[in-house]
Amino acid sequence: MKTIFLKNYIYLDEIEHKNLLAIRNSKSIQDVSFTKESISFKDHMAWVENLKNDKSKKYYAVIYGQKIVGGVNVFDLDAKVKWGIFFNDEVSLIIRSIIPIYFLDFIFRHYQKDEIFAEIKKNNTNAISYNKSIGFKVLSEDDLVIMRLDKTHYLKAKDGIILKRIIKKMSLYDFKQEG
Amino acid sequence: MDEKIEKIVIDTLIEFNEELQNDLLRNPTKKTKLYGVTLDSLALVSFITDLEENISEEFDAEIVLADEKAMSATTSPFRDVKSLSAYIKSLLES
Repeated sequence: MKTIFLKNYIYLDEIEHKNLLAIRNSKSIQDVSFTKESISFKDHMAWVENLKNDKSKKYYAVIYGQKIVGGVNVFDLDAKVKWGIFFNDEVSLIIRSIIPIYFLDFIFRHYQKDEIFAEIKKNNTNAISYNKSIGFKVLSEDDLVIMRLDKTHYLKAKDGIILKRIIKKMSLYDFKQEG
Repeated sequence: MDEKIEKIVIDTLIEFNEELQNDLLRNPTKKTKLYGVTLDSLALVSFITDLEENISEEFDAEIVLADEKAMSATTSPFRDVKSLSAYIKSLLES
């Protein structure tokens, strides 16, 4: 069974941070990020240092086949839980499909909320389309698209034609999470 | 063999679309476009899951269509019914 490892940024080693940052600074990710500029390694490490004391935010690198292939994050701010996700360009569609389901399950379970929000730049059409497929609804649409996933809708979607089969695929992978 | 594979792909697509209800997949042929046109990434992985089962049953051979290499290939075998059928044939013959 293949393992997918979600490792909290605060536990990554230097090489892992550099690999993660390379994905974050790639053009495809930068184009849809809120901070358009490239992030320096020094700034990245200072930001990670702050994360160690911030209980409201969790960032995980997604490691598959001993390589960092992307990242997921969750914020618990002002009683609202928000999530985010990104992958490098090469990661397979299977990984792109199953990681979000694993992580959303984790968020609902860990934070015990009935809804999850997402804030996505309007030009990130893939993310918007993906979120819609798993049950997110658009709350407002400007340069920033705000979406909401109701737990009931999500559970219904998980039993639907698409996610039911994705979940079947998930059983072929072993998920591990640190932090 | 080519026609048999193509028929399984089309039949699986028809069955899948009974639930999906995508107008573009109502009458699939070998030219029917798949990934990026009629199926998004989630729908493609789901469809492939059904197709793997049907191919395995029909040919009594376990094949994995949705493997990492194929799912991230620049020239995707999931472009249309024809390319997918050719890809299945190559797996069965290997």
